[in-house]
Amino acid sequence: MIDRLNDQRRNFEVMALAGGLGVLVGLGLIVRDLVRILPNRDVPVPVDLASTPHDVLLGGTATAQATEAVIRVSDLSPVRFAVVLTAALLPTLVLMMVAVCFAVLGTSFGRGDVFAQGSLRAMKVTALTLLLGSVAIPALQVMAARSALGSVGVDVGQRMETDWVLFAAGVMLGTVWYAFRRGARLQRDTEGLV
Amino acid sequence: MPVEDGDGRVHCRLDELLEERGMTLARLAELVGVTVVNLSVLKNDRARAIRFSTLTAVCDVLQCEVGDLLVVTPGR
Repeated sequence: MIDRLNDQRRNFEVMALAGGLGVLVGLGLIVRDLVRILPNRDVPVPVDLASTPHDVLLGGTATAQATEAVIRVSDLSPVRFAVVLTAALLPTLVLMMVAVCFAVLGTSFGRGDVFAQGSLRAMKVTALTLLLGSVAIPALQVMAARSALGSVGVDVGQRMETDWVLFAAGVMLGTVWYAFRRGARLQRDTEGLV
Repeated sequence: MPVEDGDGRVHCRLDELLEERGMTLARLAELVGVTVVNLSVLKNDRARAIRFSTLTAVCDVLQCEVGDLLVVTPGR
């Protein structure tokens, strides 16, 4: 029994550590993106070529169809630059939010405080971030691609699709948050009950 | 809007009732079928809720009314 409890605590510690590691990795990615983008020189921007696929020759006779590409643009106007920068940083910020949620949950579970207010808040904010991110990230990436293509005078149609994986993750985390909120309420109701 | 804890204004007169009847908390716990720990929580006004079954059993054993056991102290 004690061994099982120790195992559980260790699992929660690993969860908190993984969250902390995720935050550190996120910070590293943000620094990398800032170094690439801030000088406003040869800024890499992914663009969608699905509407105009290009055949690419791979080695001898093998061919492939390129539906995505990265273009490098320089001297973007302030508005376009802001869009490109935000589109590049937002996925990492969402990842960091998930990592923070893991760290908070792991810490509070490890303490034995399963229904801590901090955990509930972290879950709610992360679920909302994932739901908003599922729409905002693709929308910003399309805007960034249009801005980059516009800056070099090219017009290739960009499709905007909701990121359904992020959306599903947000819905699932939202469901877990709701269940935990009910649990916290039940715990509050039964505390001090004789 | 839900009422939050009643600001701890509910006072349990279990101490006085037990003293009047010359009964111990352990004996009451035995008769009521509730743990001494829980009755102690009730006696020391640390309870935040009480089951009707507990309330009925305590009143039956002490032969009192709910109002004799629980009183609401004046608010600040």
